[in-house]
Amino acid sequence: MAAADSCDGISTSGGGWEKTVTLVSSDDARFEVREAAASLSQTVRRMIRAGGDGGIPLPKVDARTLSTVLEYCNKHAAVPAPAPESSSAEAAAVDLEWFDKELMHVDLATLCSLIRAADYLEVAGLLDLTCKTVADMIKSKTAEEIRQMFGIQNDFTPEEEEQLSRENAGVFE
Amino acid sequence: MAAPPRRDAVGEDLISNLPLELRSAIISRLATAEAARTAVLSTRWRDTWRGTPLRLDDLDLPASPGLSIALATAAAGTPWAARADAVAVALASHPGPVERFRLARTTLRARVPTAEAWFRDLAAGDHRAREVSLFCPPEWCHCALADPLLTSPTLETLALGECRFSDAGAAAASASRLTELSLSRTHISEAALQSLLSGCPALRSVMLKHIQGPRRIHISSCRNLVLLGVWQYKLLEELTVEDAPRLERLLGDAHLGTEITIVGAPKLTALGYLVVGYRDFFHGIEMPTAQKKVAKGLRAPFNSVKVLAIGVMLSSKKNLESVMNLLKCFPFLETLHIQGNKRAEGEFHTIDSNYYQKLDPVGCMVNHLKSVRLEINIENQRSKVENPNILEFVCFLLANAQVLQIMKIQSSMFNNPAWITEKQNLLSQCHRASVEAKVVLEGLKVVHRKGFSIEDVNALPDPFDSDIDIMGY
Repeated sequence: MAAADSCDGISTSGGGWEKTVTLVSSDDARFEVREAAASLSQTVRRMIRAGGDGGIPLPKVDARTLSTVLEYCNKHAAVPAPAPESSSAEAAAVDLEWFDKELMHVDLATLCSLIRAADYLEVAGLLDLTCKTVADMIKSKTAEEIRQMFGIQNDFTPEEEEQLSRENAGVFE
Repeated sequence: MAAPPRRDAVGEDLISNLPLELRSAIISRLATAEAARTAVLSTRWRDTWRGTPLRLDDLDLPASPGLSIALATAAAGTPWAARADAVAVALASHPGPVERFRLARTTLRARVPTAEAWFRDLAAGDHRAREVSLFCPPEWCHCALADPLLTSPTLETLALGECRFSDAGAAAASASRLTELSLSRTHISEAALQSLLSGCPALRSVMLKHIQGPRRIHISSCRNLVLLGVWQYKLLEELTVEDAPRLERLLGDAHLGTEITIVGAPKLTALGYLVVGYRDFFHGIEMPTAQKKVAKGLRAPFNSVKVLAIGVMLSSKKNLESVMNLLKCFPFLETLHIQGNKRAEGEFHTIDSNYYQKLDPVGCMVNHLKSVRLEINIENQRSKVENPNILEFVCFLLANAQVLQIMKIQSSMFNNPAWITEKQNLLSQCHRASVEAKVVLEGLKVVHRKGFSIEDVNALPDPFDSDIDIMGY
């Protein structure tokens, strides 16, 4: 990836010119991104406002994770302001849904990295998407199935376990 | 504390290793019962459940409460207390705070003191809440005293049924974050309502449904209010709105016997339903620019209102005159909704077309009216006698509305092809002042008979042209 200053530009397919910023991952990879896409991250948005040269450092996100986050941002920032009830807006929403679903076809380690990155970068939509993905994995499974899926160790003492089952018995189900 | 042997994990449990707030973000996207079940996974997940604000919805609670509750209930001999007891157990099972507390199928009948204790706890105790909503039938609230909730520093949304507020409680109102308030049959005095509203300055939406007590409602200096709903009908003598700079919509079923005064609401664009034909007073409205307050009826003109909904029986000349006079109060009206003929009238007075020819042009009709929706519900469809006044009225609108784009006639007769053909023939003979005017005949819209949420109404571009029954609410 070519080195670029944090305020540069690229020409768009429409012949226009869009402002870009350069993000630098923890492992020193540089990503040149449209400012509109990068600004989906509140963290990056604040750093753009603060100014500075030589790219925006993101020491908590590695290149692999950052590229996925940016894939999400590029796609979601490209969506024009929705015109309600128009068929194209509906089609765009369906397309986005598909995109999100595909993006979530990752292993658990990647998913966890994405959750941490979305939280650190404050990309609200991605945090919601990733947390929902994990929540959907938990849904309608027994405790033992969930433990197996995630590798959770049951670390309760027998006393704790008994107390817990007494407290929770029949409360919510 | 010595770590139990099983407690040192193998380091592969990536999900559990997420910080608590992220685990919390995950389980807050589960239904409450599912989220509660994760507490048994491990100590970290137990702490996650306890550290996540509780969303307690009685629809998530078991339909038949746990065995111990059932036994206790049998012992106490109060079957209707079982659900309230299940709520109490669920609330006690979590250390708080509470994200939301919603009851839709729990009666407080045998547990009023318990409920009053909940309100104190939800207002400022460990279980301080952001939302408290009692969606159950209003009478299930059994006049529980809800005063403490008005002093909550955390509460943002409050919906109550037939609870009560004391004057002293309302005077102490200081729920500084409260933005949405909905009261159904709640007991509150006129003065208490005013102190409640002024003690909660962040209010954006206020819905009052048959609240018990006030015959006058005075909304003054609610500077953040965007939506106001008042369903009091005959109970209401006065509705005054003063200094509501952000108010956009005033919904309800005010009949024109109510003295409605609206001043200092420059953004008010949607108003209705105003019900004509019960008893009407239009003193002073002959001169719409007159600034003196009228004894009864509206204070005109309403220059900002673009959408108006009227309920009227177009069965007498007097009612029609009322409608005409009413329209003069809204010089910039663009959209008009009329719900007519709810009941089959025994008699009506035919109004001949000469009547219309003698009328002065109505300002909004000439220059601004773009869309009219006329809803006609004829209950007795076999009745040969159909109110000819409606057709005359439609023709009058078509002949005078110069910028009209659409006239929608929604009728319960739409399933009758002969009726459609007849109406189309008659309407095609009407003169149209606007070349663009389209006339559409269609069936009655399907409406929800149930209540609606403030969110639902806020999301609608035009609350009257939707599947929510604003009039019958």
